[in-house]
Amino acid sequence: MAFRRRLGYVPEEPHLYTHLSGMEYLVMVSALRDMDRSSSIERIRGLLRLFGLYGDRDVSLSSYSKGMRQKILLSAALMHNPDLILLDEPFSGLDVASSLILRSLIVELANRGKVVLFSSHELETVERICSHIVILHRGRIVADDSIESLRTLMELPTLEGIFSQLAVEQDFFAVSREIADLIHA
Amino acid sequence: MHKAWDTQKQHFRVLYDVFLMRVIDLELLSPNGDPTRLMGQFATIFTSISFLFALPIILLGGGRMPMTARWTAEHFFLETTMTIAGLITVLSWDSAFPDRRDVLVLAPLPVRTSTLFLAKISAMFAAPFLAILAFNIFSGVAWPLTFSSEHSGFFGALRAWPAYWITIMLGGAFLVFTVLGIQGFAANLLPRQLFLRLSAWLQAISLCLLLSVYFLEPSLESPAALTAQENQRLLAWLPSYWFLGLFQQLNGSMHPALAPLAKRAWIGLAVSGFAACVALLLAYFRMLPKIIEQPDILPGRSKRPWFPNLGRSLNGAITLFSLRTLLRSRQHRTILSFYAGFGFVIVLGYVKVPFVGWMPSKTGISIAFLLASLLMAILAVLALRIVASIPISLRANWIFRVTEVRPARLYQNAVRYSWVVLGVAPVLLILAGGFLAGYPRMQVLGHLATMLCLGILLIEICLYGFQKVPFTCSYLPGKANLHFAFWACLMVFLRLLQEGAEFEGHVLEDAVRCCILICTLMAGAAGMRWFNQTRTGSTEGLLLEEEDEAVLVSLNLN
Repeated sequence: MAFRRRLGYVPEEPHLYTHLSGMEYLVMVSALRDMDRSSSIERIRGLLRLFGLYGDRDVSLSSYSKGMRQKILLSAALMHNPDLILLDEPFSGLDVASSLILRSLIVELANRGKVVLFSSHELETVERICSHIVILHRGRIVADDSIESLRTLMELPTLEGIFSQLAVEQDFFAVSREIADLIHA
Repeated sequence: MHKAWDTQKQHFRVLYDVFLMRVIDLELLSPNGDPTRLMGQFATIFTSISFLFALPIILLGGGRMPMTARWTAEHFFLETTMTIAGLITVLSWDSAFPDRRDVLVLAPLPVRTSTLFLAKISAMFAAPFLAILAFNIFSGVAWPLTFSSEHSGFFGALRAWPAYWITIMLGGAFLVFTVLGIQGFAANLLPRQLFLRLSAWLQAISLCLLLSVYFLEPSLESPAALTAQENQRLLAWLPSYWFLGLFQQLNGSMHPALAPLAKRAWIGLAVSGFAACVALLLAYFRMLPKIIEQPDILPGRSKRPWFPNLGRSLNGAITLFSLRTLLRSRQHRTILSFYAGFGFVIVLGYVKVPFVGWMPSKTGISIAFLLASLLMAILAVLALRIVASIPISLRANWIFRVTEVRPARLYQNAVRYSWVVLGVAPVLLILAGGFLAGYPRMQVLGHLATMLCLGILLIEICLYGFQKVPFTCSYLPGKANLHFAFWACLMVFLRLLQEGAEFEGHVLEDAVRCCILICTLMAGAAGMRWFNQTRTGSTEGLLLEEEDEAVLVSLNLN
């Protein structure tokens, strides 16, 4: 149980209790996390303001867009100041401005000593902000190192190239040609 | 042409299967929960009841009965069948029209709107039809033997069967048409947002109305009662008697007293059928765009956040979550109103004649009042327990997994607190507000204290094995026998409840006896609480998914 107090988690799918409003949901999460009531309300208001959701705080979550729900999930994961933050595809559904904020936030949190572990298929983003990379293929770790070391080791300039070599078995050019041929036939 | 027809047929079959299964809300079920199994359970229950009803005829033979007894039996089966059909239609209220998911999934596909419409309607009619079939599968074969007209012999008995089955099907269809007509006209005449808001209330009212009529309608199965001038206005509003007349007409046993009722049944059927067809056609052609544009109830603009202080954080969070779920989830509200309706009907059924029993008296609290409050307390707690086991947005319960930072016993305390606030406290407030002024004050206070202790004891009993947060644990068919056990117990113990009310009335006359009763209940609650806490203390955490218990079978090979 103790580890949960130090953990913030954003799942891949934004499953939320849609009969609650954004504010109600976050207040409930703060209570479940055993946070102090008055300070947590202030913190929630601040997060909603910074994520641009304050005007919609009393609107039911069923009316929120995917990006808005993602911001609620991020707020719920961060509000208790966790030491370890697990983010599963955190950029999914976010608008450009929010993506930039989140990208910068991840770096900022890491600089403040938090461990941020996030999974993503956006290799460019990963390349820009991560210090350490783990590549999984068929459930097994095929790479576990810093980007610089991997670049040197694999003699490849980009993460996309490294990933393609380690985890993509198919010739994607050939497969794409085959698909196009198939639907043309 | 032939190929197009085949394609339409295939589309119909696929959609029909999907919509029939959607009568059950699949999102409630555990990963290993099977909707077919759940439907099978319901069918088994109806079939078993049918067999029980058929048993007297099978054991004693189907001799002819006196006319009044025959009419009573005919009316009972017709009325029960119609109520079952009506209840199933009301309970599957949301499946009458395609929802946003249907429209979004099916709109890009080359499926005709007419096929979608026909599949939806057919699936919707299939559920009450199957229930009617299951409920009458034995009784509908055995009992019509005794319903044949006098001196009609073997052919009369043969005629009674189709007459009975046609009548029950038409009676069921009448109620299904009526419910659809009401829903369809409301959807067409009201603005979309208003309809969405009112729809849940219409459903709850329909449910209570069906139950009230079934349990409270007077017995008029005699020629004298049916022809009495003072009953004519009442009969005009009781469709089960119309179909009793229709059955007599089809059976060839028509009595002059029933002729106007048969006529009314045909008119009612035609009007409700026409209304349902018009309302549904209009709704389909006018509603589909609205379903996409305005899928859900939009929030009010001037809504103020509401944060009542409900105690310590976890208690408050669980109580508010439960309260908001009950207030905002149509499904949970429907189930709750089903229980509330039943309770209301039972209370009214007990006191409908001696309404004077409710009148304040200076000598003591009336037994009717004690019985009503006893029932209210029991039903409130049990309804909460049952409705809490039905989840909402099951895939969202991950938040309770990742925020479980306290031991399970604290969650159980929070659930206990929420049930006191949402179940026991409202009952006590109603009782205190309604009757405090009229009765002797000390007796009322004694009664309220007794009800509080009883409520707490019941909560402790209900918390046995409930290591969950309300509305978050998946539902596994086969483990949810509580509904049936509950109603079976209630029916058996109704008599006992009356004894209990009389006992409490006797106890309240003396302060010492009253204190002893309260202490006994409190001791029971404390003992049960200790037991629950010991049990919860040994568990690892919250239960968020119901699973079949592992079964080990020993082959005894040693």
